Order: sequence, then C-alpha cells, then structure tokens
Amino acid sequence: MARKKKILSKRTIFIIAFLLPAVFLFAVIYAYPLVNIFVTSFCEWNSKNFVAPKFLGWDHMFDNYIKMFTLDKNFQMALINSLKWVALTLVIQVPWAVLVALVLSKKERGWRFTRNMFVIPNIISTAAIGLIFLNLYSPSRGVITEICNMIAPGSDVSVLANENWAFWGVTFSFILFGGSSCLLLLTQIFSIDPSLYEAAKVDGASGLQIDLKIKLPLLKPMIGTVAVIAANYGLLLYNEIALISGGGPDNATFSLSYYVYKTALGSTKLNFARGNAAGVIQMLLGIILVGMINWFFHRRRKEDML
Amino acid sequence: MMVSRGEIRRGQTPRKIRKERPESGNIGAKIFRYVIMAIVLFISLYPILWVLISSFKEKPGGLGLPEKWVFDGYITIFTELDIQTYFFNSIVITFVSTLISVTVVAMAAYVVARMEFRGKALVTLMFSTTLFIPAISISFPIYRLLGDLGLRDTRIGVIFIYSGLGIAVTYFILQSYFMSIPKEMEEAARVDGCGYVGTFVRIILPIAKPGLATAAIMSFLNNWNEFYFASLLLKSPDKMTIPALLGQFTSAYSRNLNGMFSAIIVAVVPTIIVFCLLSETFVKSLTAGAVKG
Amino acid sequence: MKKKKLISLLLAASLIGSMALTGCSGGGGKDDGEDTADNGLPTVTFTHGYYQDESEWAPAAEMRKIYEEFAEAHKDEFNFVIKADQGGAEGIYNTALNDLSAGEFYDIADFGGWDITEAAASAGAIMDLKPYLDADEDLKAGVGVCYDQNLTEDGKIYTVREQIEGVGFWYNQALFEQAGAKTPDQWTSWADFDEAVDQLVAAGISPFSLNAGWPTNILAAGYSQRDEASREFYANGGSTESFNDPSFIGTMGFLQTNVLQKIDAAHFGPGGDDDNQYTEDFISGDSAMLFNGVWATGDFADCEAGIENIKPAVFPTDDGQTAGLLSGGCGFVVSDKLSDEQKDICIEFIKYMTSPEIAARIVENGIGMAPSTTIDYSSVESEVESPEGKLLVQACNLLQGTDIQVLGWGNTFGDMEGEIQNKYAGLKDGSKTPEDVANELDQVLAAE
Repeated sequence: MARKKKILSKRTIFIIAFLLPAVFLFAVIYAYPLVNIFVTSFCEWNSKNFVAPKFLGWDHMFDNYIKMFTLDKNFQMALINSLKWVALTLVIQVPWAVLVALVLSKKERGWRFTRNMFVIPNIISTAAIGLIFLNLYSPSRGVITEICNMIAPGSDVSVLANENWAFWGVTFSFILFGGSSCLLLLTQIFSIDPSLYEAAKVDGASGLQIDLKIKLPLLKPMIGTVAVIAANYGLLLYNEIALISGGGPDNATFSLSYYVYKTALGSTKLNFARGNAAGVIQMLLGIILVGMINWFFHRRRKEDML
Repeated sequence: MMVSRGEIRRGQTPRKIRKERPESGNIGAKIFRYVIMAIVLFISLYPILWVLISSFKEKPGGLGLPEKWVFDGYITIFTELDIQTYFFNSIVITFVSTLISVTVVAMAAYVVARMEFRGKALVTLMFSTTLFIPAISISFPIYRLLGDLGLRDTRIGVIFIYSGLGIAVTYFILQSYFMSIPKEMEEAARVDGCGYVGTFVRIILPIAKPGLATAAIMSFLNNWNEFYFASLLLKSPDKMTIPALLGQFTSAYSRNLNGMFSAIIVAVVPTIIVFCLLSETFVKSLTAGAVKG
Repeated sequence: MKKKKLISLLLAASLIGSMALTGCSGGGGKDDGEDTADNGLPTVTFTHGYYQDESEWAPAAEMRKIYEEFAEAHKDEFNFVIKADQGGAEGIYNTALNDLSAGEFYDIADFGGWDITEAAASAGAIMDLKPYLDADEDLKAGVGVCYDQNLTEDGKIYTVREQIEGVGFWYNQALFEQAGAKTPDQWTSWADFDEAVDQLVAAGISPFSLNAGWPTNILAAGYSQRDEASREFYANGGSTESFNDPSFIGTMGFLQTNVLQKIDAAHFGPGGDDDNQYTEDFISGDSAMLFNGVWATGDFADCEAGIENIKPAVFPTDDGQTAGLLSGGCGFVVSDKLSDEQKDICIEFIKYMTSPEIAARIVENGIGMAPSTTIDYSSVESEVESPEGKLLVQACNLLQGTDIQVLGWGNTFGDMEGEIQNKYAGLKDGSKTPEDVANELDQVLAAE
C-alpha cells in the first residue's frame, strides 16, 4: 500500500511539473481574455463607456447575440463566409496538399525543388502575399484584368469590385498555398516503412492502388492534424481580407475575425461588446470544428485497426 | 492498358528501373506527376516573379517584361531601410520563442498523451480554445501585462507572447505524435529503472524528433509571419520585425509603387534563401529517427 | 552523428548569443527619451505620426523640424520630448486604446484625424481645451473651424488641430479645353458639371477616376451642398435615423447616373488605403478631374499632365453659392493626468502650432491647409516658389473663401461612411437603385 501511494504521488508531481509551464503560459496570456470575452459579450461596452463595461441586465443579457443573428447583416455575411472558407480549405486545400505530397513522394526529378518552392508562399508573410495579390487583382496594374481583356476584349474585369468575384479573389490568395501542410504530410509518408507497400508492389498493385489503399490510411492521423490547422486558418482568415479586399465590396468578404476587428477596433463606436459576442461564436464554432475533425479521423483510424 | 504496359516494361528490366526510380510507375502517371509539379511551381512562384519583374518597371504592373529597367526602388530601400536589423530581430524573436514554445508544450502534450489523470479533457479543451481567440480580444490584457512587467517595446516581451501564441497547433501535433509512439518503449525504460523525467528525456524525445521538428516548423512559420502583436508591441524601429515593417509599406510607399514592389522583394528574398538553405536540415531532422510503422 | 551534434551546438550557441543580445538591447532601449529627465525641469512627451523619411515624404521631415524648434526654443524652461510612432496616426490611435484600457494615456499626442476623443473622454483621461480657447482670442482664431466642429454636446472641446483637411477638387484645364467644355471656375450650378462631363466623355476623355471610397465620397459631399434641404440633411448626417430622405436618395441617384455610369471599369478602383489609382490617372493626364484635398499638389510636380494645366476648384451649388469641405477632426489631445505646469506646456505648444507663423509654414511647405483664419494667403503665395506650392496656396485661399464650409463625408457620417461607400460598386453596375441603398443603410442603422 505504502509503496503504491508513493509511486502515485511521484507520478502526480511529475504530471503537475510537466503541465505547469504550459498552463502558466495559458493562464498569463489567455485565461483572463477568455473570461473577459465571455463576460463582456453580455455587456454594453463601446466608446461611450470604454473603460467600464456595463452588464446588460438579466432580461437583456443576450441582446448582443440577438441583434447579431436577427439584424446585423454584416455578422450574418461574416458567419456564412467563414463557414464557406472552412469548407473550402477542407475540400480544396487539404486534398490538394495530400495530392501534391503523394506526387512529390515519388521523387521525380525536381521534387526537392518543387517541395521547397511550394512552401515559399507560406514562409513569406501573409502581409506580403496580401500586397502581392492586391496588386495582381488591380485593374490598372494587375494581370487578371489584362488576361480577361485578351480573352474578351473590353470586359475590364475588376476582381475586387464585384461581390462574387471578390470572395474568390480572397479565396485564391490562400487556398492553394498548402506548402507547409504538404511538408508535414511528406514527412509522414517518408516515415512509412517501405516493407508495407513493397509487398503490394510485388503482388502487382499499381502506384495509385498503393497510394489509396496503403499510404492514405497510414497518413490519416497526419491528415487530421493538417485538416485542423487548415480549417482553423479558414475560420480565422483575417490578414488576406484586411490587405486585399478590406471586407468589401459591400461587406461581401467579411469573415468572423474581420467582423470582430471592424466592430470593435475599426469603428468609431468601438463596440467591443458586440465584437466579443462574435468572438464567442467564433470560439464555439472552432471547438465544434476541431471536435468534429478529431472525431472523424479518430473513428476512422480505429476502424482501420480492426 | 497503361498498367499492363508498365508491367511489361518492368518485367523486361526490373532491377535497373527499380534502382533508378524506386517508385516510378507508368508513363501516364509520370506525366500526371510532372503536370502537378508544374502547377505547384507556377502558383508558388508566379506571384513573386511577377512582383520581381514589376519592381524593375518604371510603371509597375501588367504582363510582360519591363521596357526600361529601373532600379530606383531598390536604391531607395537599401539606402534608407535598415533591412538587416529587421531580419536580425525576426530571427532572434522567432528562434527563441519557437524553442520555448515547443519545449513547454512538449512536456504538457506528453503528460496528456501518456498519462491518465483527472482534468485531462480540460487541459485539451483549454489549449483548443486558444486556437480561436480573436487576437483583438487578447491584445488589451497582453498590452497591460507587458506594461506592468516593463516589457513593452522589447524583444523579450514579444518572445514571451509568441511563446504562448501558437500553443494550440504545437500541442495538437505533439500530442498526436506522442500517442503514435508504442507504449512498450517506455515500459522497457521503466523496467530498466528510468524515472519519469529520464524516460521522457532519454527515450521519448529522441524518438519524437520528427514530431518535434514538425511542431517547431509550424511554430516558426507562425511566429515569423506574426504581424498584429509585432506592430502593437514594438514601436522602436530598431526592434521591429519583417512583418511589422511590411505592414508599413502600404502607407509609406503608396505613392511609390516602384518602392513598394522592391520592398516586397527585399523582404521576401532573404527569407526564401534562408529557408532553402535550412530546408535540407529541416527535412533531415524530420526523417531521422522516424518511428517505423 | 557528428553533423547533428555540430548543428545542435551551433543552435545552442546562437540562442544563447541572441538571448544575451535581446537582454542587452532590451535594457538599452529603456534609456531612450529619459536621458533628459534629470535636469529638474518639467517634462512633457509629445507623440506624433510623422515618422517618414524626408525622401519618402518631405512634409513629415518639415513637421518634425517644426516640433524640434519648439523644444529647442524652450529647452531652458522645460523638456519637450518628441517621439515619432512608426505606425503613423493609426498606430498612435491603437496604442491609445490599449493605453486607455490599461489606465494610461499619452501626455500629448497628435492623432492625425483618428478620433480618440469619445473613448478617452468617457474614461476621463483627457482634458477640456475650451477654457483655454475662450480665454485667448489668438488661440481661438488659430484653431479656426476646429472650435465649432469639435465642440461636444456637453460643451467641451477635447481636440484642436494645426492643419485641417481642406477639400475641393482639381481639374486639368487642357483636357477641358480639348473637349470644348466650360471649366469648373465658371460653373454656377451642377447642370454645368453634367454638361462638362458629357462633353468630356464625347471627346473620349475620362472625366474622372474614382473608386468605392474617398474620391467618390468627396464628390457626394460636394453635391450634397446643392440646396437648402440637402444641406440640412447633411449637417445632421451623423445622427440621422433614416437614409430614406429625398435629398440623400437624390445624391445617390446623381452618383449613379451622372457620375459612376459615365466612367468605365478601369477608372473605378476597389477603394481602400492604397488604391491611389484615381490620382495616378489624373497626374498622367488620363482623366480631367481629381477629387482630392489640397495636399494632392505633392503629386503634381513634374507630372505628365503638366502642372501648368492643373487648377484648383470648389463645388458649385444650385443656388449660386460655392462650397468647400473643411474638416478639423481629431488632432492634439492632452492627458488630464498632467500637472498644471505640464498642461500649460501643452497649451503653449498648441498655441505655437496654431500661430500664424506655423500656419503659414504648413501651407508654404505643402503640408496641408491650416485652420487659422489669420493667414494672408496672397502674401504667403508670394513666399512660395515652386509651382505645386503656389497651387496649394491657391487652393487653400479658394476654400477659405467659400460660402459654405462643411465637414467631409467621413466626419459627417462616421461609421456609416464605410457602409455608404460600399454601395458605390452596386450603383455603378446598376445592381442597386438609390432606394435600395437607402433601405440597406437603414438596415445597418437598425442593427446598431
């Protein structure tokens, strides 16, 4: 008995000691803001009472949320767009990164160079990418308008001036840049024991069959991680919007993050209460999303093991 | 059809082909791979090449090469911007914060991945929420905290914040990696008389190198590109990072497109060079010591 | 193995080295600006956003020089520490918000148009300048329109500026003559504007380049002064409860048919901070009018359009008057936490900045327009040698002489400015009617 107790307490000390630094970082940087966001989303807090948020009262405590969902077209647009961007990263970016990783893993001539180049858009800051795309889309000095005019003279396409195109303009400034995801996947592919698929190859399986039947299932945990990171990027999309479209035209490219910024800091009214209410929604969505992705890949992994 | 042709070819000279290109398939697959690689190269390089070419134009923009090559933008940048200072700052801040972040999170992720204790789910939830907190919402408290600590407008302050910023992604990567390490390895170490800390340092960390390297790369990229806190917390020009500098380009160079395009190139090219030099080291550390199976 | 060890060693060494370096420079940085604090004199720190290098933007260097001369002149009485924020006025504003949340504030700062007053006043962090302005006629004349514009509902003035946004528009006389159109200095109503636009278009000249923002807002604000009813709606624009007002709908209708649909897509940018194409088009001689403030002259030197062809103009009205946009906005803001001694230093500085000498210097150097009503523009013009400097003085003079002087679009409509300009693209391509615009804006108001 005594010995068991001793081991247990040593274990406990170890657990606490190892968790402590991370929990400390969390507590110092995030704990207060988390509580603050949540609490002030039930407050009135804007430029009129900037240092003293005021509780809305029990009868009206959900006013910020109710207004967002019933009246605030910008919030509704932001919510829909953010969900669209999450879906698009999962449908386009992740499969694209997987495809490229599988292709590169065949080590064709130039694969190393291609791999390095693919990561470049991820290592240069999004601020630079934003500026570059802003200029590419510009009707006067960009290339898109020029190319469209070659195909259809006089069309004078202005990507960022049209509500539907602007959404895709923002989307294509990040969606194909899956370089770092590809790098993660590539690493995982190379760590697969070759004996696992050499046998299949001898049995006459095609490269495609090996990719689909053997490599892909083994990659699943990493695809799950990549999916979480990518979906998170889609949900939090901000820099590209701030730099390229500024949320426009007519607020058609608002994302949740951009809405939070616009409502809280980017407005003379400094409506932090509403911004934080949107922040709460964003966090809830994020947690649900991560839960869903984890559950999906976890469950599939278990099935494969059986 | 294609498959059978490939099989025939492989049948004729199996060894040679295998040796050269261990995983090459038939011609169609090969063409497909090159097409994909070409697309990757195009989307990755075109935007930057376009800016590079444009930066030499008198009137930046449009397709085609410059009619007259102009270097004005670069002359302005190099004579007036202390670009190497910004690079130095970016490198120091990113390296140190990445190291701290990965170390700290690795410890926590290991405990969660490997041990049963009460509140385990809470720890995961806690780290998950940090992924989605809007930067604006944490900026006030962070600003106040650093002010109280006297760390505003210092590199240490930014390092401190960056160490905590990416903990969620680092946590996810490391936790899933630790889970994939067979338990038998620790049990063997335990039998050999290793303590918890000893097992972690001597057994787990070496095995987890690819995972650690992966997490470090992600964290590094995040911190390297971080813009919001850098521009909020760093006010002195001698402490600023590359992204904070880029943020100024839009306003500072809006009258001087040539300068803006050149500035983008100057900020981006050394990053690319450093990455290309480091990438082999990166990838080697990623594949070295990989767990089989 | 050896290689790995070497790499890790190198890494460790570089980390230790960098740690040491950050430590050193972190400590060293704190000394900045405090080295003058030990001479027993009172100290005030002034923060501004004119950080740009002289070659980047010459007015910034001139502004810094003006500040430094003040500090130098009073160095025996007090320490006036000058700090430039690398983030510009926007950076100062963001820092101020963060400071406020931490219970701090700048001693004195120039907010360059970013309005901090409501938040800072609600926090009790800033001081009311009105008593000082009322007590000093010269100071009051120096701040000009700022006095009335920045007077709050509860009778306080939290901010004044040494320069204001003076906005009319610019035209290229050569292009007007080429099209055989009446030039803006002869316009007596907006019908003349319409006629000139049609003649320019017929001659194959783009009348103007616009975007979903700033230049279009200027034109909208100018057109809003056309008659009494419209002027009244505009004057109360900030507190309007509905945009379903005939004069506002009239303004939007004018924008749609008489303005936006007269130009092609290449002359209509997406808007935003760095969409400066409308200026590029004008200075390259590609468009006949430029809707921008007096400071636009900075881009006119040696331009393709030929500076001799460029002339300033103000807006006509339909009842025979002229109108200009003069916006003070948020400039100098002083902390209320300062001692009386420090406050007096700040007032001294504001007095200096709004004095006739500095006002003349601001105009002469092409920095902008000064609010001061005491400037003799004809004597200033003779002081100036460069053609673009002369143009700026002419433009300021023209604006100071307008019958109707109102705030700009953004200062009038506040947050709604962004929502209104969002609708311009829809108006241009015909997907929205002016009535749609009014209804959609009312929905935004309801969501607040």
